[in-house]
Parts: sequence; C-alpha cells; structure tokens
Amino acid sequence: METDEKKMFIECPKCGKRYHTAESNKTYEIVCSCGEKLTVLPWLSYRQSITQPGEVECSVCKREYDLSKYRNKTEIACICGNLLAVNFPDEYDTSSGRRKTDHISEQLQAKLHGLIDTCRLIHFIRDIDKLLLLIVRVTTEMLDAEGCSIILHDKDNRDLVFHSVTGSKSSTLTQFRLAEGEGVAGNVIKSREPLVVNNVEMDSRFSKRADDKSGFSTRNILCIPLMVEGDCIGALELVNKRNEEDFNEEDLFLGEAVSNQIAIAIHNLQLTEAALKAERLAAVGQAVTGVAHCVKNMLNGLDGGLYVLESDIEEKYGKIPERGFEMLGRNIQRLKDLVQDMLTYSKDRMPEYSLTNLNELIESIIDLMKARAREKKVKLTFKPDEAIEDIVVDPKGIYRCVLNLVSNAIDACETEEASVTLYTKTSDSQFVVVEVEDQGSGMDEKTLQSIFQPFFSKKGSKGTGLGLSVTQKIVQEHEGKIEVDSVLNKGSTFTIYLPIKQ
Amino acid sequence: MAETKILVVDDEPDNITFVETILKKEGFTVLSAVDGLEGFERAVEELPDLIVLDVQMPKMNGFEVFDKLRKEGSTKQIPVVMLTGIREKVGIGFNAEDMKKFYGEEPNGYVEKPISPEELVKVVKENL
Repeated sequence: METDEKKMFIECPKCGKRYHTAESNKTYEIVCSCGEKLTVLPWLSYRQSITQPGEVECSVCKREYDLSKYRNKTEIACICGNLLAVNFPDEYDTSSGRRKTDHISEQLQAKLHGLIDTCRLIHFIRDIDKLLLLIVRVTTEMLDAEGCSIILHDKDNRDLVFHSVTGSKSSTLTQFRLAEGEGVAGNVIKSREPLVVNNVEMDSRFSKRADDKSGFSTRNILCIPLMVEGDCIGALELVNKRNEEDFNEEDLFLGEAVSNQIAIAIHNLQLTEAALKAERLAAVGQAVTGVAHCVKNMLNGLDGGLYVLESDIEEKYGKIPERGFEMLGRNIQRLKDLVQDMLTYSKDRMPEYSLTNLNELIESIIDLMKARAREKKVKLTFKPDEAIEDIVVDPKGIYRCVLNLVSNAIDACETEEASVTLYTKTSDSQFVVVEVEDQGSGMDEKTLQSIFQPFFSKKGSKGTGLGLSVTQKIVQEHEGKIEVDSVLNKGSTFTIYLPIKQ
Repeated sequence: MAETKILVVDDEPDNITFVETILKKEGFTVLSAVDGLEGFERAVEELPDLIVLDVQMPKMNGFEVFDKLRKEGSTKQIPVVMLTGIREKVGIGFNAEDMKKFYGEEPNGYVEKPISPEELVKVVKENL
C-alpha cells in the first residue's frame, strides 16, 4: 500500500464537503457540519483506481465525484465502502484543481502542528531558557507574526523583563525592562485578561519605549497573561501579524493555548527546582550531621588533651600560663557550640522532656552570664513570675534557647548602662512565656526578616548565624512559638511561648 | 591511709589518659585496661577499690564486663562507675535502662561523656 504518502477523503453526499479520514479497518462515523452523518466503512475490500482526471462515478454505488476537487495521489473513501484511488500519470498537473479549502485546512494543520510542537518541547527540553526560546519561535511561525516575546514579572525588582524574544530586534530587546503596569504587557499582567490591539497608535496603553530602544516599528499586538497557580507571572506577546493583517480571534485562541503550555513549563520548572533544593538540603544535612559527629568527638579529645596538658604543666611548674590556655579553651568551646548548633539544626534531635522549674533554669543562665554582662557594663536582671508552675519541657533545649537570646541581647547592647531584663509570665492557661528584653541596637525591617535564617549573622566573626535558627527549631519542637518586637536604636524583645502540656 | 586503686577500662587511649590525669590529681592510683576482657582480668588480678568502665568496647562491652564482675566472687563488691556516651542514651547500640533490666543489677554510678572532671571526681568519691 502507498497509503503512507496519500491523503484520504470522504465527501458528504449532501453538501459536498470533504473530510480527511484516517485509514481504518473499522466502521466509524463523521458528523458533517451540515448535520449529515458520514459512515466510513472498512473500505479496503474494494478498490477502484482512477487514472483520468474529470468526472468519475463510483463503480459500486454510482455516486459521482468531481476529481478537479482532488489532488493527484489521494484516495476517496466512498460512503458505500469503495476506495477510489486517484492516481493520474504525472503529465496531468492537478495543482490548478486545488480548492481554497485545501489551502485553509493546510494553514490550520500547520497551526495545530505548531501547538503539538510546543507540547512536545515541554517534555523533551529540560533547560527552561532554551525551551521558552523554542516555544516563542514556534509561536511566531504558528501565528504568522513578526516577533514574539515572553515578558516576565520580576517581583523583587518590581518591574517587567523581556525574557525570550524572537524577531529582527530580539538581541536588543532581550532583558529590556518595563515598569509595572507599563505598556500593553503591563496592562495585561495587571488585569490578567488577554488583549488584542490592532492599531497601537490609537491605544493609550501602548508604550513606545521598547520600539525606541530597538528601532522596531510595532503595528499591532496580541498579548496573553501567563497564569501559574492563580498567579500572573508574566505575559506572552506577539507583535505585527504578517502580510499587514490584523490579529484575529483564532490567533487569540491559539495564543491562549500556547500561554497555557508556557505556564505549565514554568510551573514544572518551579516544582523541579523546589524538589532539587529539598534533596540538596537533605544531603547537606546528612553530610553536616556526619561531619559534626566526628568533629564533636575530636573536640572532646582536644578538651581532654588541654586538661591533661594543664595538669602536667601545673604539676611541673606549679602554675599554668593562663592566657594561652584561656584562649584555647574559649575557642574549643566556640567550636563545640557551633558543632552542637549544627547538630541540633540539621537533624531530628530527640528532646528529653521532664518536669522543669523554668525560674530555676533561668536563674542558672543569669548566674552563667553575669560575668559577661558585667564585662560589658550591661545590667542583667530577672523578674520571675513566682506563680508559674513547673512545666514539661526539654530542659537542655530550653536552656540553650534562653542562653542564646540572653547572649544576643548582651551583644546588642552597645551603650553603657543598657539593661537586659528577663521575665517569666503566664499567658492565659495555655502558655508559659519567657521574655528577653534589651535596650540594645534594635533591628530594621530587613534584618528582622532574616534573623531566623540559618547562617545569618550580624556579629561578624563572633557569630555562627545558627543561634536563632536553633532557638526557633527547639521552640517549634515544643510546639511553642517565638515572637520578636524590635525598634531600631531602641532595643528588641524576644518572646518564647511554651505550651503547658498535661 | 592506704592508697586507693582505681581501674580505668576504655578502648580509647586518649580517654584513659584524660581520666587517669583527673583521678591522679585527686591522689588516686590509677590502673588501666584497653578492652573489656583485659579489664575483667586486671580487676580479678588487682582487686581495685573502684572500676571506671566504658560501655562501648570491642571484645566485651561494659555491661558484659559488669555482669562478669558481679558473678565473680572476688569482684562482686567492687563499685563500678559507667562512662556512657550520647549513643547509649539515645538507644543506638545500647540502652542503659534496657541493659540494667537485662543484667539485673545496676552499676553504682554513671558519668556521661563528654566527661566533666568535676562530675567524674564527684561520682567516684561518692562510691568509694
């Protein structure tokens, strides 16, 4: 059979409209636009070869066909089940016999192929920039436009950026930026409604800035919003329909189909990136835990070694060189704290809950931090609510939380005679509250937003950037919450709410 | 006053040195062994006044040594202080509570690793 290269048609006996049919061994129906039902029969049992142009009748049902409507090397599936193979010798040029409908259906086919191509691209191309550029190229051809671009809403910069651009001025326009709400694209992104502007000169929404920059002359625009999960992330914009034509409704439909594909591609990318990031974080977490464990054991060895060295020197010389030992000891302690923070932060710790007297626990922290507060001339006070009852917490965890907060508070105090005050309180019957209030430097909005991010620190080499992350994690493990209130140059208050568990 | 002999059993030489230094400073005589089996043998041989015993050791772990010491007539009364790491606490490999149930008797004291010299001295003195 040569059917691979051949096209098959069935003609409506009522109105004469032709339909392209797939080769079939089964009976199936096509409903003609005139309402007539055309039954495609398994035609392969019959076959009539036609080698002469002109009028011909089906040898089985005597139905007449005008072969000037058909091109050479096509087949007509007659509704009686006969197959008429049109196979003229080459000397008959039948191109003049093509009807206009042939041309239209070819155009439509090309467009549908374009749409199918965009769907396919999404599955095969993993590089998003390459993918979007290919999609805009296909779309430019499919919609017969002079240029096409994807304009994305840059939420951080609060503007719009030309991402993937085709057309003669693509290189100058790529990365070009418009203000939010500027131009046709800006309006579309804002209103989330597609827009066809067939005469830009007459439309006040049009912005000339892109044309001024590129030297391109925009005549008409078709612009469709890109919606991802209910959020408008940008727009697909086509400019200048070729042959001086206008963009029509069909272009709009096709453009919407493409913009949906683009949205899916971008959404897929976002999901993949999120999954990758989570995977990477988990891997880093595992590695950190492993390394931290080893380092922790070695640090204990170092600590032991320091003790042994100290004892030996003391025994031999009667006194120890304090400065050096103090320095070593302090730095080992800092390393230990860092490792402990990393372990606490990176893995699921097992909190050991027990009934704890919070006031006593905080007293012991005050005792520990007194010396440092005195050194910095910070007034450190504790105002306990004596009425609070013992609560079930992981005492080591909470000790660490409050110690971190107090240590931060003292560090934040830059002026002499500033004070750090701790409070315990009961908030209704559900929470016990620990408050750490300082008269330190306070924080601006931007700093406040980042303080719980791991490795964020404003203390330079003094901080690990893990203290507050760990504090937050421990509080969350207790199903509690932590709140911050801060005024720049006035001070900050950190409040921990711990649920009273029965 | 006669010398007080303490046997330290740990497979980690650095740990032995550390514990040895802490205890010698307090005036104790310190003996050592680097695995469970050797620890048991030295205990029978030397009959120390107290044994500091690590849990995680090759050949014979701390609880097995402890069990043997309690079953052997001559070492039955020697106080034993266990050194427990965080691993035992969270139940990886050993769980002090379970081991206690399993071996019936409880050691005289526990000192958690990383060892704090003050804590070790305190627990040792309490059990002499």
